[in-house]
Amino acid sequence: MKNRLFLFPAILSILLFIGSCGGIKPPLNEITNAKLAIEKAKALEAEKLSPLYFLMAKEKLQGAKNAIKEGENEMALELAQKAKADAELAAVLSQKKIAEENALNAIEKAKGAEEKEKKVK
Amino acid sequence: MNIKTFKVIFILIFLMLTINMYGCVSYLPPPELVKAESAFSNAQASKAKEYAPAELYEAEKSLEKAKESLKNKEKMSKIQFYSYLALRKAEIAKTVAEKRIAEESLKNAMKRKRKAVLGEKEAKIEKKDIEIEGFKERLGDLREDAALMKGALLNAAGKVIINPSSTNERLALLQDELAQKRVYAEIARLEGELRSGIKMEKEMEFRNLRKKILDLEEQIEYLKNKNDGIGTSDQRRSGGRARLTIKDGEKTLINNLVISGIVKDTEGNRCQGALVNLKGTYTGAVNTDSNGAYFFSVDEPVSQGILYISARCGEKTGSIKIFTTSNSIKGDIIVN
Repeated sequence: MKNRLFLFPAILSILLFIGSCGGIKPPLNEITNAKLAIEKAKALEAEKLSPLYFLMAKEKLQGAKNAIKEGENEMALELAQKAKADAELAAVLSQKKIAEENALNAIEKAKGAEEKEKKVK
Repeated sequence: MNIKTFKVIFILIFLMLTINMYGCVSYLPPPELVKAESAFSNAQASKAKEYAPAELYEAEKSLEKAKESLKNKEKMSKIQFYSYLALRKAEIAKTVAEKRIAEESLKNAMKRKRKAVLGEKEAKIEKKDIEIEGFKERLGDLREDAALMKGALLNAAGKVIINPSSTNERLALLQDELAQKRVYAEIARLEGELRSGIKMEKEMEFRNLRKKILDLEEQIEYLKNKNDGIGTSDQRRSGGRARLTIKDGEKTLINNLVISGIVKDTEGNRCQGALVNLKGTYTGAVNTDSNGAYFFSVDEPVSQGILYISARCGEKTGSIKIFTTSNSIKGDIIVN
C-alpha cells in the first residue's frame, strides 16, 4: 500500500511533464488565418513593395506546416501566429507605400493645376 | 523494491522537473521584449495615438502579455513569442498611422486640385462672358447696319423696278437683295451659335465664331460700299449700270457678276439647250433657252480681268474670252 502511495505522484508528475510539452491539437485555424493574411498581402503587392516581411511570413508559414508534420503543434501555433503578424505588417507597409505614392502624385497634380489657374487669372 | 528505493525515485523525478523549469525560464527580459518595448515607444511617439489608436491598443495589449509572461516566469520561448507579436503590432500601428497620414494628404491634394481646376474654369468662363458681351454688342451694331442697308437697297430696287433701264440691272438688284437676306440669315445663325457658345467652353469654337463675324463684317462693309454705289447710280444712270466694285488690296473685285449672251453655230443658227459655264468650273452650268440665249450670275466676288466661258451644243463646242470690266457682261459664243 505504501509503495502505491509513492507511485501515484510519480506517475502524475510524469504525465504532467508530458502534457506540458505538447498536448495541443494541430493549429489548423491559425495556419488558415496566416495563409489568408499572406494572400491579402500578395493582393496588395507586398511581394514587390515589402518583400522582406512577405518572405518572412511565407517562411514562417512553411515552418508551421513542417512543425505540424513533425508533431510539434505548439511550435506550429507560434509560427503560424508569427507568420500572420509578418503578413499583416507586409500588407500594411504596402498600403502605406501605395498611399504615399498616390499622395505625392496628387500633390504634383494639384501644384500643376494651381499654376494653370494662376496663369489663367 | 523497498520504500527507500521509491523515495529516491520520487526525489529524482522532482529534481528533474525543477531543473527543467528553471532551465527554461530566465528572469532577465529577453532582447525581443526590449525591442518590442522600444517599437511600442516609437509608435506612441509617432502620430499613432491620433491616427491608429485601435492598432496601438492592440500593440499595448500584446506587450503587456509579454511582460506578464516574463513576470510569471513562463518559458523563454513563450516570452519571445509574445514579444515578437508585440513588436509586429507596434510596427503595424506606426505604419497604419503613416498610411492614414498619407491618405489624408492625398485627400487634401485632391481638394486643392479640384479647387484650382474650378478656379481656372471660372476664370475662363468669366473671360468668355466678357468676350461674348463684346460679340453681342458688335452683332447689334451689325444688325443695325444691315437693317439700314436693307432699307436703302429696297429703296434703290423700287426705283429701278418702277423705271427699269434694263432687265439685267433689275436682276442684279434682286440678287443684291437676296445676298442681303443671306447675310441676315447668317447673322441669325451666328446669334444662335453664340447663345449655345455661352455654354460651350471650347476656345476654338469662339475663335471660329469671331472669324465668321469678321468675315460678315467684311461682307457688310462690302455691301455698304455697294449700296453707296447704287445711291449715286441715279446720277450716272445715263452711262448704264453703276459699277459695284470694291478695292481689295491691289485687286479690284466685282461682285454679283452677271454673264449673258447667245450660243450659235458657225452658220448663225441659234443653239437651244447648249450647256454654258465658266471654263474649268461648275459656275454657270446653265442651258440656253429656245432662242439660244443664256445668262448666269457668279455669286462670289471676281477679280477684274479675263474669264473664259465655254459652251457645248451637242458635239459642237466653243469658248470665248471676256474682260470683267463691269458686273454685267455680254458674250456670244460660236460653237463648231
